[in-house]
Amino acid sequence: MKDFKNAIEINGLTKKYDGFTLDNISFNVPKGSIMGFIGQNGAGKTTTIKLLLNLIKRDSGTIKMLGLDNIEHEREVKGQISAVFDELPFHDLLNANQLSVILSDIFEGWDKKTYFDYLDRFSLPRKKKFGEFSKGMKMKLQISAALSHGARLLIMDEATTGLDPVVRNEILDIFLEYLQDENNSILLSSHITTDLEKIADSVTFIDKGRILLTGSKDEMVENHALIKCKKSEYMDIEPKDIISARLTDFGAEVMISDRKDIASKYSGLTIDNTTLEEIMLFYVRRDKREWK
Amino acid sequence: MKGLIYKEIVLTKKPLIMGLIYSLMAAVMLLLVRISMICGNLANSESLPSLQRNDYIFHYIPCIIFICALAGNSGDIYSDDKTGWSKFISTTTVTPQQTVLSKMISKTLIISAAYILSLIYIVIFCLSSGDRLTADMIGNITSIFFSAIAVTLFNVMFAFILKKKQIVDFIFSAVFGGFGMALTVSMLTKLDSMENAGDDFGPLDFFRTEYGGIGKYFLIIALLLAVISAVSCYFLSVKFIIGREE
Repeated sequence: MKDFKNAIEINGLTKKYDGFTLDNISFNVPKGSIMGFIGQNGAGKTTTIKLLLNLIKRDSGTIKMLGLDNIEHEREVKGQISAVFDELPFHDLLNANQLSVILSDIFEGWDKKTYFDYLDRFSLPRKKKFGEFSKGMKMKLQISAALSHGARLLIMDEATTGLDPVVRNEILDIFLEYLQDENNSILLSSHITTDLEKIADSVTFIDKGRILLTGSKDEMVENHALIKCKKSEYMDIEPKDIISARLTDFGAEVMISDRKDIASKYSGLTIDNTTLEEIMLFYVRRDKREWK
Repeated sequence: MKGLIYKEIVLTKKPLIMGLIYSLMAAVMLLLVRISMICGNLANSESLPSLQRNDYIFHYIPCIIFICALAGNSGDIYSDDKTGWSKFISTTTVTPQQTVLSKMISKTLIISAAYILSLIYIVIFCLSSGDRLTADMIGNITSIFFSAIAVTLFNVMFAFILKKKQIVDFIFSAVFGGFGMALTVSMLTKLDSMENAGDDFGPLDFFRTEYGGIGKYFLIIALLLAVISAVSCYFLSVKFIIGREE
């Protein structure tokens, strides 16, 4: 496999459905990093992931994964990636031992020792049927399988959704370990922005089929800010500086995207740090501009 | 592909056991019907015919084994989509051709095992009862073997194509019910023919040449059906896997 700078390169990707269009999206996941892919339900995250995995046909655009076109070199690419979904894709009647036999034939690089090491680490039983596993156990199992065949890229679709914080943290630690090898990369689609704040290097925010933000997570959080002010002060802020504003009984909370400029422009206002969740919330409601 | 075949066989275990239970229940029902009819004959008859051929129920056992295999093979074909396995397997290097082939091979293997069991059973039955092992008996089981393969492969194909559990269930039920009906008709014909045929008549004899020769034609039709099923299942299933989401 040739050398590459970005684990994923998406350019001008479009997919039209009746009532929804993934509209000319472009973003990159740098090699050796973890990118958070955020957006509300129906924003286009899963469609993008399906296009990455060539589960659906794109209308236009290009996708390169690990330096190769994802359709032209599909077999080569799929041999080097792992996909993890929100639901366990393995049948309830199987157990971990049986799964190893099945996957060893499916993945060329299947490493039985690594797989069983992960099972032991997660305290997952080898002979218990998956149907008797809890949701957390199922996700741990899926991640154990995903990390046991030398994949260079993990694609996770809502993999941590519905898990308790303890299990989520355990899984996030595993991701960080996986990224110790600088050739490995992760695209993590999730609603849970607090997880991404902990581990993501970069973030792509999609809404209504369009990319609103993409880039370094730290820069994104640093550049955005929340102004908490009185209604009279809010009226003085120029509309072009506002992403959207939440009006309360006592005043307004205003999301801005250029903290330095705004700070110098409106020196009298209190500018607070913000979070990915708040950024997402205010961007999603940008069409209304003002909301309660 | 070994891993995929292994998966199919492991998953077939549970529905196979369920199929066995249902089939045994059906066998008990048939036995009860037979006993009640014999009791009716006893009440109306001056002489008391012995229950010397009550073992005929065991003639059905090979058929029951096949139906178990059939039931077992049909129970798991929807699970792939339900569990997300199809989606998962699409993210790997496994091709649609391998997916379909592995299903076909594993299901044929299971039915073949049932076929061998049935043949062993017939040999043991004939040896123990002193009956003569006839080509008709083996031909009968073989025709059911091909039919079972045909029905199962058609079932796989419809599952891929229609993606509608209810419809596939309906088709399967119709075919499965057809087998049951055939057995029942076989038994009733036997009962009707008892006076003419004498005590030597057994349910498998329904397919013998002297009683219409249906067995031979059934065997040829079943064989053709199995070949058509295998070819169409492979090509159509692969086509529908590839073009599943547009």
